[in-house]
Amino acid sequence: MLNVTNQLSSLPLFAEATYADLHSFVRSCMPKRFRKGELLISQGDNAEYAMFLVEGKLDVLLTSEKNQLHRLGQVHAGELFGEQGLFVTKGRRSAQVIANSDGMVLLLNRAFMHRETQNTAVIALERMMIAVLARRIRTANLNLQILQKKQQESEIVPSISKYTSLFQHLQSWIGKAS
Amino acid sequence: MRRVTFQLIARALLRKYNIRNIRSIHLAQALSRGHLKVIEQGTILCKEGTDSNEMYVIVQGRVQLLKKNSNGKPTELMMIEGPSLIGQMGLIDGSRRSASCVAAEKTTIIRFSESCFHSLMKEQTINGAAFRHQVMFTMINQLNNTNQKIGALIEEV
Repeated sequence: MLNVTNQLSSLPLFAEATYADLHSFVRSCMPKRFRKGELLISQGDNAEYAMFLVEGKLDVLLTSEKNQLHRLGQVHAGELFGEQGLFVTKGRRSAQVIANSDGMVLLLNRAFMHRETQNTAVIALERMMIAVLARRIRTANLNLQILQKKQQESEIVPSISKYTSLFQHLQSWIGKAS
Repeated sequence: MRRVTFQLIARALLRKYNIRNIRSIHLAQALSRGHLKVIEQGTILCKEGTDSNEMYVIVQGRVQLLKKNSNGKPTELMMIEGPSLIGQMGLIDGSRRSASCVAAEKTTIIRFSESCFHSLMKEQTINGAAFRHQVMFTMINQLNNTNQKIGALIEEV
């Protein structure tokens, strides 16, 4: 446990956390070692906890309705993932997470985060979560704008082709009449 | 009287976002650090492209979000009804206002200055935690709504 506390205390994220709070945080979490290729989160599972990656690298993948696997991104040491599990009751995992290397995660449960409101390590995690959410909202807004533009374009193209065929029809009708 | 008002606002927010782990008294104490005021219809809370230095809790009433289109004409993005939080994104990531916010009717708001917001963000008290959780739930809700819109558009496009 002390090793993990020492590892975490060197992260910039926990720069303002006291060693005692960090140690209490580590003791309350469940450390889990994993091997390369191990499945840590399955898409569609109940989301009941978040994970904090202490060491290693993870791939975030999404299985589409056509059963195709898309890589959404990677999680690096010092990052939190699956955080919606801490706040959304009866939420489901929206993607799967597979280990890209050997490593270790801490499993954070809802009760601890909600109980330890004055723990400086928990405050650091909450602030990180808020920053991560802000980034995700910005990205989602950008994607939404791109899709809305595409939708507008796809609405314009059929109406142009409709008027083109009407014009051709009129031209041939005028030709026949003259 | 003032304490009762903030507690009612806190209860309404917790109910709206279905937050069960926070006691309304703690959120009320955090909210009372802001400045409660009534603004008239047409009052501009913030302008698109300007620096972000405040956030707001819409207590009662409606605020219109406007964004300039390619011709420079302000277009409505959405209407936000109270109780709700707006303007927190710019204080979190330091970005400029992505849209203008205008009161669509007589609206009651709580205004938080940048320094008050950041002090609550790192405060080692139960009131600070209540405020942070409220901000997180609001943002999770916002993200889920946007993702739902994206999901619907992907199927259409």
